[in-house]
Amino acid sequence: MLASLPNRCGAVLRLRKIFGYTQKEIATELGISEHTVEKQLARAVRLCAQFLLAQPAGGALGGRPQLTSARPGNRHDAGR
Amino acid sequence: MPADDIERTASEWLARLDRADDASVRAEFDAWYAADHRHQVAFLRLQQTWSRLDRLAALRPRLENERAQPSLEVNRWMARGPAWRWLAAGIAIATLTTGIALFVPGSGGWEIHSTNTGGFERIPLQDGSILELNTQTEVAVELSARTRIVRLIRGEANFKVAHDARRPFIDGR
Repeated sequence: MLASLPNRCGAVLRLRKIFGYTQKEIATELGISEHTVEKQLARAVRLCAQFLLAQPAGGALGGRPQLTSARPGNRHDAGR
Repeated sequence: MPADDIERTASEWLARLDRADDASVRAEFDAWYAADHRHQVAFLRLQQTWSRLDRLAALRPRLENERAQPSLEVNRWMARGPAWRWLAAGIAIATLTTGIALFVPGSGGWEIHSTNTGGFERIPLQDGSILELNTQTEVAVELSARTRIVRLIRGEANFKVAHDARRPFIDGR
């Protein structure tokens, strides 16, 4: 789901929700205005709500293969 | 007011309250919220999504843990949709501390791709594979006639590998 967000939008949401930054801290970290952070978060929550709505029940967060969803028990050594 | 506009406004309120939930903002919000039943429905729906997103915080220890130890794991899955021609795809969650990186920039046909803090890049390679770079990630890629090598210098990357039996896809750590 995160990977489906536009770049800056996803970055802002990651910092807010995974790393617990405040909006102000995100603005400082990314060198953008707080106003922009606020707008991007608003957009992120709309897109996520639409995404979740389109998902079958239960499969919500991380339903799509993505960086952050390592799946224990189904791992292989890389190309060796 | 059309539903899309209400949803947009509701999302803006959510983000604004998240930024600063002080009395003046709250009073203004309360007036908007009370004004129309549809405002309440839209706001509560988005607020529920917003709360669910808190679960993402559970990923943090794992991300940090994996960042701390140099490891590279690939998780394969089958193609998700008919439009995707991937026979195999891999998730690599990998981390190398900068000191471990053996790669010397500028050698051979290596291409460097990187992201800054909070960044995310999706990079299509010539062979049809796709690299997804998470925050603070740097990878070096070399596509030659016989092999395809991706070397993770730092951070996390997700590889969707296009099948090509003649050109193995190698973790060039």
